[in-house]
Amino acid sequence: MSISLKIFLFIVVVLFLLIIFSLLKKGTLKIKYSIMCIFMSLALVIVFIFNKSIEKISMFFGFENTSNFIFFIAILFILLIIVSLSSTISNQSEKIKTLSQKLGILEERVRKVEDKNDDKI
Amino acid sequence: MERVLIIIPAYNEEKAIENTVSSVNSLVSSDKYHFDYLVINDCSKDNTLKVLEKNRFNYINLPCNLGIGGAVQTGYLYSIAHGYDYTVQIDGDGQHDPKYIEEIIEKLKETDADMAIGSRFITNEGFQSSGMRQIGIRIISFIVKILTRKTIRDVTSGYRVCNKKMTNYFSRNYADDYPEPEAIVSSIKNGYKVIEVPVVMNERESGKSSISGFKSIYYMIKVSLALLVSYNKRKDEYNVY
Repeated sequence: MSISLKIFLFIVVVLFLLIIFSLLKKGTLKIKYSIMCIFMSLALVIVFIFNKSIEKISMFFGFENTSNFIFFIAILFILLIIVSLSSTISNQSEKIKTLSQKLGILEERVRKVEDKNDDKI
Repeated sequence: MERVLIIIPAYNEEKAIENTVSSVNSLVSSDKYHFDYLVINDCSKDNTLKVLEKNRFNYINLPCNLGIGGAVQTGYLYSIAHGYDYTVQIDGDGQHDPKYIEEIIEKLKETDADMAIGSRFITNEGFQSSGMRQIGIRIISFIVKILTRKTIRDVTSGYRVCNKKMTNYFSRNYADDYPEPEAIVSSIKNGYKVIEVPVVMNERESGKSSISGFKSIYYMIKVSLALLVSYNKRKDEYNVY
């Protein structure tokens, strides 16, 4: 991997981390859901720093280029983040269903009380 | 006369909640303070709700489980909506003795503070919690000290008393995860005054602590990160009281 490519990738990952921290600071992102992105980005930065060892590992697995291996790792990280997001979405979808159901049941109770009051009048 | 609301977040506390509420009910309202309580049932999976209904306790039943942060914040929202002067938070498991409340409010007034944390580590009497947890608490306390320059020993204590200003802030800004240490950092960062007062806590009556054993390490890493982020958060813009 050429040195200019290493520097370029390094800068991009650092920029990405800065964006995440800025969003966290504003309150747009919640810590819970940004932890994965932060850890993965940090892991990538570490990969860039220890690139000699990465080259050895990459050749061991049979990758033609070290950069192929690094992109492969990055893709794996992205897939992991997607799985984590899907899990969060599933959880939220369940909560929304529960909220809607309980709201419906509550509305029926309120309606009964209103009808009772109307009868009294 | 000042009105005090005691909020009791409860998740799966079917065994302990009756005693906790009775101990609060035994607090006698005086000329100075009128005490009310509110149990917040965080969508418990056990029979907590049945126990609350059977005893006709005062409670809110959350439709979804929000965690300790969301449950306690619900209590703060309720407090503001009903115009209470002070809001007290105690655990649903009976570890916290409400007899200290009046004395803690007096301390709050004396020191012109906004939040008082009931701490078991000042006089080191009573239940002290397990070794692993103690190490974790010390580390978090250290991080809080670096960020806020304030020494709070019992950072995870859920025994808290807040005045109206503080309650108003928390009703709009309260963390979902690890709210106890995070609330200390964000309140001090936003200009509120926090003090620590000694209390004696009881041993956990029944049920499990929500943080146990080696989970403590994972918990600590996440808390540290959360505290760092919280420290750097832009100040709450609507400081309206």
